Amino acid sequence: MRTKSLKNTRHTRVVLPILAIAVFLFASGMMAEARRLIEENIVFRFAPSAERAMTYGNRYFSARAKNAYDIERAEYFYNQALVLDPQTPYLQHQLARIHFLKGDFNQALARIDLEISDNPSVSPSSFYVRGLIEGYMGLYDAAASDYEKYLVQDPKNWAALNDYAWVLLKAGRFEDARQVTTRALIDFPGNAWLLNSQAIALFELGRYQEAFESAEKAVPAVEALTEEEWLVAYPGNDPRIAAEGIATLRNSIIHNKEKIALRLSE
Amino acid sequence: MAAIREHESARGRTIARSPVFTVFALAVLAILIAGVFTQGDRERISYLEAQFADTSTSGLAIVPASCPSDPPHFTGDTGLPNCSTPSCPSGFTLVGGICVSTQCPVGFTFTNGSCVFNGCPSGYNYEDGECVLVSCPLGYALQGGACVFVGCPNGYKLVGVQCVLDIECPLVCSGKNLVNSCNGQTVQICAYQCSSGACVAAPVPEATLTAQPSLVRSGNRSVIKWVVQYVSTCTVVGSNGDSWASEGDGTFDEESGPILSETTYTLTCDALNGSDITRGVKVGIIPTFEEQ
Repeated sequence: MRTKSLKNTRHTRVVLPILAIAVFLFASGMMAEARRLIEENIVFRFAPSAERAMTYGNRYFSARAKNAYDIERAEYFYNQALVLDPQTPYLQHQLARIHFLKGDFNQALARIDLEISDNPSVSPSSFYVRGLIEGYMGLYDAAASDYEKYLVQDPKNWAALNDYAWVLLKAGRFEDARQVTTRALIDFPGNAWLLNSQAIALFELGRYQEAFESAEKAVPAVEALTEEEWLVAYPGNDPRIAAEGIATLRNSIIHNKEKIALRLSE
Repeated sequence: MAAIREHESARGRTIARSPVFTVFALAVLAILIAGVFTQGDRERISYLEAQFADTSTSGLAIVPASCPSDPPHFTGDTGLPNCSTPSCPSGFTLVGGICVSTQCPVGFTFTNGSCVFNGCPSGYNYEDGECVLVSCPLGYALQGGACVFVGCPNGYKLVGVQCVLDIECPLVCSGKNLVNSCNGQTVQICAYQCSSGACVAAPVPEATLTAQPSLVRSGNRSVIKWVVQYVSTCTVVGSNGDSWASEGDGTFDEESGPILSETTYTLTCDALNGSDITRGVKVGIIPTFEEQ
């Protein structure tokens, strides 16, 4: 009788503080966090599905999910989805993006090719991603072709037009690039990326004064750029590196302006 | 009932004390703590894209973006992303990532992301939490619960959305008429007279009614005379059936019909100041005496 009483007391001593701490964590506004952890660690373990894995993966792979962004965890869930159902729509697309961000362009290209060939309702975004990967790989003609496929569906997307201009510039098609940026700037006259790309196209065409004017407009545009805007432009990146991304663009624009000014003074 | 409660209470205590429950509670706690305390420790990961700037033939730095790389969120979605900077349409403002209307109801102003009441304007009454239109400003008519512009009255002009007194077109007198000096339109006809661009109020009316003679032999006649001032129209009615009318100020007289018995004459005038004025006079019969 005495032994049982002691045992009961010991259980109570252990359980009650645990419950108290659990209640404290819940009450501290961590309900959503708790739900997420329970879903991913318990629910997914007992009832796994590719769809669920995709949902969890997408949670961690968005520049707009400021606190949740975790590309490794996203990749983990996408790989889980791959095991459960490799035909899951947009799964290869997401994996391609992750490989691309990590600089593994061959893997990225293989994944996006799979997405485009296997997804019966392939998204125009998949062609955009393939264009991006090909551009980074130096396959400019292929990239231009994929960007064109995307732009057929979304002809006024400034980012797609800017990237199309990028591969055109790299392919030596300066006049085409100038025309693309000029067209895009009608709708987005204060866009720092487009102004920069247009300045380059004009410079390569020998139109230095106009190139300088465009570069000059790009400076206040990039100075006014917010982290939120940068994250819209680069949705796969860690939101905490937005400032670094803005700095890259700002430095590029200032470098270009100085170089154009130097040429004008010669 | 007490026995059942005692049984359930004892059962609860048993569950709470069981090792399985302890393990479960520990597991939940471990998950929570692990999740909460590992979230903030992630390192910032900078991938190639944030630092990437390509070079053109002449060595200028080209910076691509990647906005459209987000896939559709569900099968059948067009997958076309909105790469524009988050912004709201006209009449809305971005508050906490949501477009909130800045077009507040009448009497409310948009302050710190919400419509705050700051009093109903003139012509509105506050009813059930909103300003309800009850009258319209000059030049507007209430139609279907809203004020519809119907045109400014004479002497007024439209400035913005308001009818304001047209001080550049003063009113002038033309006889008894009050006239807009710009367009010559008669603004008002004065009842009494117009002076210095305004109607002058009429004085108190005056009227007298007399009968001459006031005593007649039966069958004879009398002259009824009335003198009026500051009136527009007058009528004189006799109890014997006589009746006459006059217009304006002046002295008027009429011969009565044969008077066979005492007759009362009543003068009624409409005065220029808007009032009525009434006077009366009697014509008596001279008695006749027969010698016995």
